[in-house]
This record gives sequence, structure tokens and C-alpha cells, in this order.
Amino acid sequence: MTEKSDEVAIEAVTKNKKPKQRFSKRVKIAIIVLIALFLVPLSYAGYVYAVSPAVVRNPKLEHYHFRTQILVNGKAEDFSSQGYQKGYVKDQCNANLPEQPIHFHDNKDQFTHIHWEGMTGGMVMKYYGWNFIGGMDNALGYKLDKLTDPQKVTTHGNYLPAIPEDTSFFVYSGDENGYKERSFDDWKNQDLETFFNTTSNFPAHDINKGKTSLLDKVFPKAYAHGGEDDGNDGEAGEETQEEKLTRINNLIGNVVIFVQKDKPTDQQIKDRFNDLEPLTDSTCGG
Amino acid sequence: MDSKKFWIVLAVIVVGFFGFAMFSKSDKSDSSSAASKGSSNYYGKEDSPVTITEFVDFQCEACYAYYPYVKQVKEQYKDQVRFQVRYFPITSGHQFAMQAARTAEAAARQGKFWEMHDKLFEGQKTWEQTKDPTSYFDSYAKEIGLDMTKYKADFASSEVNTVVNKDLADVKTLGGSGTPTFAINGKKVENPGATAEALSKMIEDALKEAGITPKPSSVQPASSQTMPTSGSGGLNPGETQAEHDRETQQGQ
Repeated sequence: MTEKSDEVAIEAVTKNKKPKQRFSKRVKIAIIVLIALFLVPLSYAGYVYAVSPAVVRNPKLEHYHFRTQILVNGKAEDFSSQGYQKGYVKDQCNANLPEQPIHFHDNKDQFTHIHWEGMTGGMVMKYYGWNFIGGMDNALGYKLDKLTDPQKVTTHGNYLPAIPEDTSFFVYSGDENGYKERSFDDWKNQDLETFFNTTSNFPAHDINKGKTSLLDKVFPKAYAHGGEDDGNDGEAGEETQEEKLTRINNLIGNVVIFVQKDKPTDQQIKDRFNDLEPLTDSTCGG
Repeated sequence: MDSKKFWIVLAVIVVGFFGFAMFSKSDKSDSSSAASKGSSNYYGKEDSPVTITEFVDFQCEACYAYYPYVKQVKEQYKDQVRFQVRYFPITSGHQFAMQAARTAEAAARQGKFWEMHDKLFEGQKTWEQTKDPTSYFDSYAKEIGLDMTKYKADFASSEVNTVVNKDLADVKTLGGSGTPTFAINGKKVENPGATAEALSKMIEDALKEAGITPKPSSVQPASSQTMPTSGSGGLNPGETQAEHDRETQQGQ
């Protein structure tokens, strides 16, 4: 009897529950749903933003080269081997930003192609399997120049050999005329143009660095020459052949990295800088 | 009743949110540039129902590779097809592309577009390696008999700049992302490949679609080996081909 009367009482209470209380509960549910709708993509966006360096989030077109040699316990890595190489479309000159920022191609060793501005030595190493700069494991980050279409910039793959224990990185830049020892941290973290102390001569470079105004981009001026007069009226005859090849290849420097226990000898270093991949006068199509 | 309204409002907000997200994804085409005509450099049968357009960058190595074969098929099919070249200078990557385009258009204003077009491509491996190709372009202008005063004035004019930029805007509207970009009757097509056979097939397919039986004339086949592969093969400014050949023979 008592149970039955309790049930009746409960039922009466439920029926008489004020609409305002039910409404309040639904509002709470709605707010939670709305927050979730915004919070989840916002969280994802925040994560994507945080793991992507600025130069990867908003890449700008660049195209320069440098020569890379990496020796692990005296054995030089062969970047002309298939694992490192990347094909590219040869029946068209691309007007757009290349999908990937770093390449080896045309079966050439050492000759490293950089297609996005702001790349660092650390990004180059990570791209081929040595991650000393953190971030995502198999990607440099996300390209976010189109916010509604973020694209993961995956690395090329793990092709650099395992780093032996008890080894250090000895980094040198230079050429056949001389070299200097460099900090591994500088190599990892500096923009390559800063590291090599050489500015790319790629046309888009000036636009990227703000040396050309937006007006110039929208309304290119009809200069009598191809661009602003930089005072270089001279023909290529003033250059040595090596200078000319360096210019037309937009080569910004050479780096040799020894990964070994002991510091390399002067002769070992010189031997590497005397073994640089020759430049050709065939301009790079990719 | 109040709660029902509330759920309706909530549903509208959620739908609106997703709708906004979808809408933002859709590509918005760029607005066209100045309402001006682009270039109008044609070759072949003026009233052909088939127009083959090639958007070129004179400093592009891929356009250079196509050049001898495009030239060959132009001659083979000139009685049936209208050929057109328009400008697509990739200024972000090719330092002298805009300058070369303006050079060609300035020549066009004296009726010598195709002569300058050929000079620019045949000399590409030389002038692209210089710090300033102006002297080369001026020598080409002289060689093809341009009025140099008019040529220089046209080169520097805003009208020529506008023509080139209109072509640039049009190729981007077409969906061109590199050079060469080919179009048939205003519609972009996949690049056929830098061989005479591939280009001929593209042309013949277009002719057949227009109900025309292809009848190519026989011409000397082009070969990429007739084109210099490096700067050493080109002419110096003011140098004639005969002088260049004599020097080359003496050097041997």
C-alpha cells in the first residue's frame, strides 16, 4: 500500500515538474553540444598550429640549392640513390608552390633543392629521417595557407642511417678554397640562407622579403629591363665560370657533416670539399 | 512550446555552422583583371573551327622542349588549324620571363611576333644565363627588322603590360598551373607530351571532333638535337648565324 502511494506521489511530482526546470536541463545539454561543436575543431586547429613552424604553416615559394655531404663513421651517404630521389613533372614549368619543400632529383648526389622559404638544416635532416627539431614524427607540420584545407607536409622517409652510439656531429661549411667549423645548433635552427650567409637570387625571393610591393605584384611595372636596375649592366664575361655556374644554379653554399666519435682531421675535411658535385649550366627545371 | 522553439533555433544554428564551413571550402575564382583584350597572335587557317592555344613562358625549359615540335606541327596543319600563342610568364621563378613576353608583344605590334617568338626560344639557353638579356633581345629585334624606336616604346608601354597581364589572368581562369598550358577552342587540355607524334594526335583528335579529316602537310621533322642544350650553342648579340658557324668551325 505504502509503495503504491509512493509511486503515485512520484508520478504526480514528475508530472507537475515545472517546464522551466526541464527547459533548463535542455539548455545545458544544448550548450554542451554547442561548446563541443566549436571546441573540438578549435582544439584540433590549435594542435595543428602548434606543431607547424611558421614557414611550413604559410609557405612561400623559393628555389635555391646547396650541396650536402653527410658521413657516418667515414661513410658518405649517397643522395643520388633511389631512396632519396624524387621525380618531378618535366613537361611543364610549375607556376605554383611545389608540394614538398626539399628534394634530391635528377640522380645527382649532394645537390639539395629547396623550394620553400625559411627551411633549416634541421628540417632537411628531419625530412630524410633524423629528427633533432621535435614536432610531429613523420611530418614537418601542416600547411595552413588555406585554412579550410590544412595539408600535412609529410617527410620523405627514414633514409638516413641509424646514428651510432657515442658519436657527435661535426659541421663544416666552405668550398675547395677553405672551410670553417660550424655549430650544429646553427645548422639545425638557422634559415639556410642565414647559415650560409648567402641570399638566394630567386625572383620570388624579393617578393617574399617585401622588397617588392603588393602594387608591383598586381600591376607589374613595364621596366625597360627585366626588373629594377641593380647596377649590373655587365655581361657574364666579368664572372669566372665558377661564379657564373654558382649564379645560374642559385647555389648558396656547401655543407659537410661528419657523424663520428672523434673530430675529423683537416685532411679529411679538405678531401670532402675537394669532392663537390660539379655544377652544370643546365638550369634546374624542378 | 518554448522548448520546441528553442530546439528549432538550435538546429538552425548547427545547420548554419556546417553550411558556413562547407561554403568556405568552395573555391572562389579570382575576378578578372582589366577589361582589355589579351594577345592575339595567330598562325594558320584564320577561320578554322579548331584553335590550338599554347600559353608559354619564354624562359621555361619545358616550353623550350616543346618548341621545335610545336613549330613542326604548326607547319603541318596550318591549312586546317588556327594556332595561337599567349603569354604566361612565371615571374616568381623566371627572372626574365616578363621581359621576354613584353619583347614578343612589342614585336607583335610590328607584325613580327612569330619571328621574335622563334628568336627567343632558339636563344633561350644563352640569354637566360646572362645577368641582363636586354642586349640579346635588342639584337633579335634588329635582326628581324623592327623599328627600334617603336619597339622600345612599345616594350615599355603600359598597353603591352596590360596585354600580357590579361593573358596571365585568362590562363589562371582556365586552370593553367604551369607552362606550357595548351587549350583547344578555349578549353584547357592535358599536355600531350613534347613529341611531334603526341602533338599531332592532339590536333588530329580535335579536327576529327570538329568533323574535319586531318590532312597534314609533309614537312621536315624537327629534332630536339637541333636546339642548343646549353648556353654555348647560342648566338652572341649582333652575331649572325653564319658568323657563329664560322667561329664554331674555326674552333674545331
